Amino acid sequence: MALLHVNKEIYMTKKLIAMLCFLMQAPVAGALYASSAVEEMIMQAENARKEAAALGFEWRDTATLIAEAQDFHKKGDEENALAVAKAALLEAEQATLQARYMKKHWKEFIPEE
Amino acid sequence: MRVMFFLSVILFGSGVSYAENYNKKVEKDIEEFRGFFMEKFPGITLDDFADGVYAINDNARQQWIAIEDFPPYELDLEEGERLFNTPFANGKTYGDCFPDGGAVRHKYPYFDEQRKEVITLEMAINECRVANGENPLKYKKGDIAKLSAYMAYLSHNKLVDVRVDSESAYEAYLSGKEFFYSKRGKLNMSCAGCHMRYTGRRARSETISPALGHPSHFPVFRLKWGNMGTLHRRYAGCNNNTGAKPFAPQSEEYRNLEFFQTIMSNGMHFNGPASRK
Repeated sequence: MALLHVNKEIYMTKKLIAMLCFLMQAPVAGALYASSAVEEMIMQAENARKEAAALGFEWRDTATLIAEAQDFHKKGDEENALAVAKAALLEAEQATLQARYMKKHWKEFIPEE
Repeated sequence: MRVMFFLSVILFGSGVSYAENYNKKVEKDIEEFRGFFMEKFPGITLDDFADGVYAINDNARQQWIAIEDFPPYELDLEEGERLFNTPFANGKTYGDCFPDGGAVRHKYPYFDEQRKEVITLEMAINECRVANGENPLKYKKGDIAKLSAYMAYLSHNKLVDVRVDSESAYEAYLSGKEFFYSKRGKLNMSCAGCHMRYTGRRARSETISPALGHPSHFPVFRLKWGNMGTLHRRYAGCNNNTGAKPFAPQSEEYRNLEFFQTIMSNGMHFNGPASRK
């Protein structure tokens, strides 16, 4: 009976340690998740920028925004990194839309007096 | 023999008519382009437009005329002449590449039918250097602008007459035309947006110049720059101002744009170099 009691105590201690370990890892896991989300967003922005550039319509600041996002990411500032990477992605996507629209409609923009 | 003769007549004849067709299409564009400005600014002659914004803003024109009494590009012109006549390491000079002592501004840009691309004066200057074992110059400012300015000065008052004699040349022309009218950049603006639709209006303190005759007076000494710059430097500046990533000077995009713009100025006279704000 006493042995069972000791075993139970050991079991409870192990359980407690396991829970503590899990709780301690949560912020790390969260940070890792945020970090991979930022990397994913930067990669998407860079791919979109390349697409706009290939069409000859890259915007002036997109590459700078991507570099800025990478800097924030390196410094561990994932919140700003994500925000700037999103802005870069939006720019690049709009540039691509602009390129595709202009390819079809440029003649409509010949001014007539 | 007769068959060969007739075949050659047909082939030669069709080649000529194709060339005429391309030039006819271009002529129609020139007429419409020119008509736009003539209607917008009645009373201004075609050659007046070679003065850029100073053709349409009298106050700015008076200031410009005063500046031109002692042109800020005078020293650059002298330097351009010195550079032109200075022998390369192999003993040859630019004069060995360019006939008529360098008075060839009016022969550029042109479409090279063998290379299938537009050749500009600045490009030809660098190709001359490379052919003579020298390093190419940077395209936006510095020695290339001074050399180009000197050569433009020698060609002063020569007629702008750029031809489109083949399908490939017409494609390059159309590419330049598409660039000119396409909106780009964060501000969603085109060359035509500013220099046709809004020409004569103000962008902050400056009057926006008309596109007609733009290439006639380059390279220019801009007071803003404080030195001479090439047309492609200005293109890059315009793109940058509207939030678009500029292309490299002498890129195919800018050369085709220069080709289109110069064709639109056919019938005018080269009057570069010039000073601009």
